[in-house]
Amino acid sequence: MAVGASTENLAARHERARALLERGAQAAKHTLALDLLERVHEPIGEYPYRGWETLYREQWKYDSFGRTTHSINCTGSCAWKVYVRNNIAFKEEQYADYPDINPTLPTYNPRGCQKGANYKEYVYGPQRVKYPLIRTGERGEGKWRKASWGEALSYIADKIVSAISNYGPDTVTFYSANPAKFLVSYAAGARLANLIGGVVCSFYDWVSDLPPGEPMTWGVQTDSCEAADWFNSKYIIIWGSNVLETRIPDAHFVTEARMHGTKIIAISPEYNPVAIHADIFIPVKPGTDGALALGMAYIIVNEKLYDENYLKSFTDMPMLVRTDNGKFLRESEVVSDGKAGNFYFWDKSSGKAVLAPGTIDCPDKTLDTGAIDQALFGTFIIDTLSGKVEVTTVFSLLKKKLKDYDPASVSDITGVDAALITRIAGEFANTKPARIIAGAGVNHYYHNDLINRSMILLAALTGNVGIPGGGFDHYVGQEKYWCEEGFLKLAYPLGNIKQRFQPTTLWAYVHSEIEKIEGKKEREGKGDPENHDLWPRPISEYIRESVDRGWMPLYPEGTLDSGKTPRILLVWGANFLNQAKGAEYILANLWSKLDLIVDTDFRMNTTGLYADVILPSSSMFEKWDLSTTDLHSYISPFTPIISPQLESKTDWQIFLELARALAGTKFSFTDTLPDGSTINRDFSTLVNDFTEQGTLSEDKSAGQFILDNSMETKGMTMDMLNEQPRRIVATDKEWTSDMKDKEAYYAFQRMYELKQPLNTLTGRQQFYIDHDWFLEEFHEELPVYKPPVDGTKYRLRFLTPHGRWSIHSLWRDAKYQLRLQRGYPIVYLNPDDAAARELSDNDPVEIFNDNGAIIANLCISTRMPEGLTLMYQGWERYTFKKGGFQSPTTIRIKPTQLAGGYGQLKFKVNYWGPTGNQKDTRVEIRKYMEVE
Amino acid sequence: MHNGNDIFFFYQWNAATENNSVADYPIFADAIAMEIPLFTEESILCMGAMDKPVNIIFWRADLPVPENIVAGGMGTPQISPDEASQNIRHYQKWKDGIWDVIITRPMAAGSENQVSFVRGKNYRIAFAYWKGGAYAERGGHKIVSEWQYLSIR
Amino acid sequence: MPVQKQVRMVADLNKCLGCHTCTMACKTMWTDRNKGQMHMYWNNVETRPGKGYPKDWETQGGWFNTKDKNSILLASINEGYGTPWEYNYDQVLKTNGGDASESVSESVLTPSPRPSGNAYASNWDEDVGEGTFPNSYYFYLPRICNHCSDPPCVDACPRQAVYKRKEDGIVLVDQKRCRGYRYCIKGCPYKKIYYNPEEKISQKCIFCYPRIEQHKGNLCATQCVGRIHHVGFADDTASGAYKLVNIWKVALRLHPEFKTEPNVFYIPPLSPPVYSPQLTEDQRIPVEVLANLFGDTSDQTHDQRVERIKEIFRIIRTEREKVAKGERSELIDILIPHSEADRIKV
Repeated sequence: MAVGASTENLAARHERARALLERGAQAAKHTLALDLLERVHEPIGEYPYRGWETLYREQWKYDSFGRTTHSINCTGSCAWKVYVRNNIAFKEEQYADYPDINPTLPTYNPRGCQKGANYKEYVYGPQRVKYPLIRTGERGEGKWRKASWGEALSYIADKIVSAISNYGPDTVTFYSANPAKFLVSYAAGARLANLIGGVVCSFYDWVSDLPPGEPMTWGVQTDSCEAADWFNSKYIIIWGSNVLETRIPDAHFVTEARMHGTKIIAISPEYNPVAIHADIFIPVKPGTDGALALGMAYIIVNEKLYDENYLKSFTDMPMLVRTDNGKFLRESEVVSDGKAGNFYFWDKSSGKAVLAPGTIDCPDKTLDTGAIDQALFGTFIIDTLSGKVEVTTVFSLLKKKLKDYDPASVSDITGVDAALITRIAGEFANTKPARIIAGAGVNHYYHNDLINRSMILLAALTGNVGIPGGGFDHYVGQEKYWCEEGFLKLAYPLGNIKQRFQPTTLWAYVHSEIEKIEGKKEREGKGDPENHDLWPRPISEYIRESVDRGWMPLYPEGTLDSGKTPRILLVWGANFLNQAKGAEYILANLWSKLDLIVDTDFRMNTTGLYADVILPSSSMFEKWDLSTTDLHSYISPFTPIISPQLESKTDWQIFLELARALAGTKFSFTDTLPDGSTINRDFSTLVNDFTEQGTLSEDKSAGQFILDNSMETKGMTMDMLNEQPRRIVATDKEWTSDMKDKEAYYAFQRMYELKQPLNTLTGRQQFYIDHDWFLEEFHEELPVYKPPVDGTKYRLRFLTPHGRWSIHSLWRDAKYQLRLQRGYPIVYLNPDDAAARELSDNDPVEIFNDNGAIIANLCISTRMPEGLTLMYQGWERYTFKKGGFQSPTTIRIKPTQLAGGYGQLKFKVNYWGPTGNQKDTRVEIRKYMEVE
Repeated sequence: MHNGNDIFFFYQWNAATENNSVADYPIFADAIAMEIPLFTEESILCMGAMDKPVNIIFWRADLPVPENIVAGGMGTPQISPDEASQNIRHYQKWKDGIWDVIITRPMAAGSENQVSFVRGKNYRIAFAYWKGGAYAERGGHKIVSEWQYLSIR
Repeated sequence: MPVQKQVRMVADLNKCLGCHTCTMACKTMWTDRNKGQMHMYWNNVETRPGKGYPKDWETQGGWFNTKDKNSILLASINEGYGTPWEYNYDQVLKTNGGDASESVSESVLTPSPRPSGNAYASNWDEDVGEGTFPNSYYFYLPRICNHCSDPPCVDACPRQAVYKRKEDGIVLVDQKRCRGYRYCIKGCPYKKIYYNPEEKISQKCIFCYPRIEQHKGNLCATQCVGRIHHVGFADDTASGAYKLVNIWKVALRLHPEFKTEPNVFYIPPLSPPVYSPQLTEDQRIPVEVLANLFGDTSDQTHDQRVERIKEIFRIIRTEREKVAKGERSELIDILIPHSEADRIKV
């Protein structure tokens, strides 16, 4: 801790250090002006007065440099070199020392964007939290007093103990986002939760970065190729993804692939930055992407452009489905000791139904079908235990379903010309390897699962999943913590099974009482063509059924019966409140239920401003930690380049100190876990438990623990990583491919090359989901198109995409970033839409609907189509005169995403759970008159 | 005027506006200067020459203190780098279209970069002035006098 | 006398991401030292079509095209360059604790001065573009000082405090001798010299000479995450920059009609075809728009520039197709540099 620095303004210190740099440089060597007099005869090439040039050479001098990365959920995980002079970190530059994968692939160097180049603003800026703060006014009022660490921590510890003893441990809730961005820091909070019985919230589904179509189809959370594999593609559809803005360090693999002859297709509703470097830009009506994909599937299926052998080997297309009830034909229906998790093909050579290998109940863990000659199409009669039933194949059903998606119909829905749909479908099918890069632009919709499944279908029909350069690759959120075993051991020492995990969307929905609002709107929405069959039953019934059947947990237990509510929310390394969908409801209803809100961060943010206690954490220049991403296959360390500023501590140390404060209470209780087991939790041993008998007292040793316990990082040390980033050496069962030397990582190689079954009911890429809800209530057993669900009351679709200038809320309030924008929040609108509302560029406007309103300034741009408005997300609530960027949004749960008890559809934190989608939102915009 | 220790130069001229800032690209300040040969009276009027340098006292309305400049020809003027010659003080006031400026300096030179004003001696002296504001005068864009004579009594 | 060596840079606009990492790389190294530098971006990225930075710089003129030097405009910071906004962080965030009795009326983070009226900023036009949706178009143009072979800023300075180094051709403003006359700013038709109103002198891109002297690249190029730059000496026939300009002839000068012989070159941007069911080869950025910006020499006609740009697009298309068929192309190898050493050679 910097003694005596507490009264010193960090920024001023930084400035002073800079001034010193300059003064030194300018110190005159001569005192007599006469010595300096020399005429400039020829300023081109013969300038006599060059002594001053030392000025800039001095400016470029440094004492030392160090390595770090950023824990910001941008998926960059970029290695940065930070130059230090007089103990001030004054210049950031990409380290640019990622080892090559192979000489034919472009390297990852330099890796890091304009935001990473200016993290120092937060290290020294006025945004930095400097001391523990305790609220003195109302929540959000901005009144604080400085507190000592001891006071702040015992305040929190007492509240936790009181909540546990009065209401139970499942009222103590922990929220952070994305371990991959800071494995040790994330593990810090999770570990304490695991030891005291608290609830750990999901994030990937809540922020709608989870592509539900992946667990549904592939039985994986997400597995995508690293960016270098984009270069291996011959055809890339960049679909609802804006890699030019949101994957800045990786975008060169696209522009370079293009130069390399790869055809680049950009599909998005507006002419976004990635479209400018595309070979074809396809403007699609927002939210109709699923229809477009199915229209392409129509062409591929009807023109027989699909890869027949691939479909037979790796998908459920040849599997038999009963025509009477739409269910897969199960072995348990055919033979008396048959299993429900075994399924059939029709073997053309023997004219019989034969069991498929690799299914969930099949002991034979291979997809190798041997001599079976599977029928892709047809109707067959089968003898079952209950008599003869008619069966057909999934592919037959799909073909039938696709009848609705002929180019003309799809053109009507999507606005894309029919000839173009046909052309793109043909090119995609005939150019191999072909890939779809999908992003938040298609994943943040209510029907994201259907959109995902429709797109994955294209990749599978064409045999692209599992090969280098091919597939459906989704990039939203930094979910991939490569060294997962070590991380899980560190984060959950008692084991995953002993941990209460909460799908956050459900938790936020119920405790913010959205049901009351959405239920009302749903009733009012009857008769609205876009809304009428949104939910066959009230959402509360689906929630009740899901919770009662144990498909989804909901904490605290008994919430639905007794009205129990959470009591404590501990947030670290995340800006929960600012980013929350339905922000107005969360603030109005959930916040008031909480007795204590703690925010741990290195900077003040919206969550902090509405919290009760704020704890200052170390910046990314001040700690040991680890970061990984799905965009590359290296592991990057954080290292302490400068000493912790003022009173900040690392997250690991903060939660260790909180454990110490809890230990001081000597509280103990017997906890009954969700699995029915009981555990005695004695807080007096918490410090030893947290530090594993003192072996994990330091951040660096916690990081080393992760490395030591993961096969991905076998043999690595924190110091080795500080020398140079290392590539993951192997992959465990969580990932779908082997890590191969000299090859870029791509997904589903084990399925394709090694014929290993997937973790789905059928062991295959499963496009047919015969869960009752899907079949009977929602008719989503196959991918279908359903329009966005936001009604027609307001005319403008409101999109809040990721942008280039911030990573969520981070850098949204950074001065150096703001100066390169318009200085405050803006909203984009098409010139005609603006004219119709008599709006001019830069006008202050109100963006509103029934959920809430925001004031921002208008930017009129031809990049926008009519009927669409767009505000880059992440603006802090305090950058608006009114509202927050999530004010017009609500939380809408899609019931099918609450389903469980079905093969791959089973709750696992951040793998399966309802998504907090927000793109199905419409607003109106009007001029805002300033009232002085 | 002098008091035996310090010498005072009084300037007064008409200026429609007070241009006392250079705080933006198009903004220029009013300025005056006086030039005195440093060694020899034969210095060339335009900034002297390498072997016949001149000493310039430069006042500009935005500067905290007037500058002591040495020049040895066109394009060579520079502020003397030594502390000892940073001994010029001034008073300035603009009111109702009139600038009043007083510039004062110890009569004895602070260093070799200054002329010493010695009682009983005569000096060649020239004056220049720049209109700032909309005129945007700076550098060679100015009004200059012929050599005048200054005799110190 | 002519310089012995001349640094050159080629920017491949087909790879520019508009991410401003170059801008930030430059800003955080050279121009965040004092208040007077905050408005200046020695490296900036502007969306084209657009007003650029400083606003409408192309129409302000320079020493090359005017007899009446006084008629050349010097734009104000606020309207031309953008006032570097300050923010009321302390009031809003209260990270120092904040007194309970303190007024909390000011709870919105607000730029000061608030950008209204004729306010501008260096990137005000970001992604605004022209055309009519779906045929909107825009692209990104990163700009630094061109370190021209015939630099008008050097001629413009009456003190001859602007000069060109003989060992690398870098154009510098002597920070000790500059008197802040701002003739160089008028002289530069690219408006790439800035005035520091605190230090009262002019400042400009130094092509990171302290790094060039150590054989390291300039930061806008080395930190460019889109990897768009090729840097080398003009006579280094082995450098990518040389090959792109002199052998493959796919890189053009920005406004060569300004007659300053810039040493920064650009590969003009391709763009998606005009939207139609047939998708013709008509790129949506009208070639005339590009020809208004880019050309080889000062004496080329507009039509000649149009033809050159079409020719460059043909070359790139042909070479792309070759590579797509599995053949090798030297041009494509240059455009996809494997590592930094392949694109920066100083």
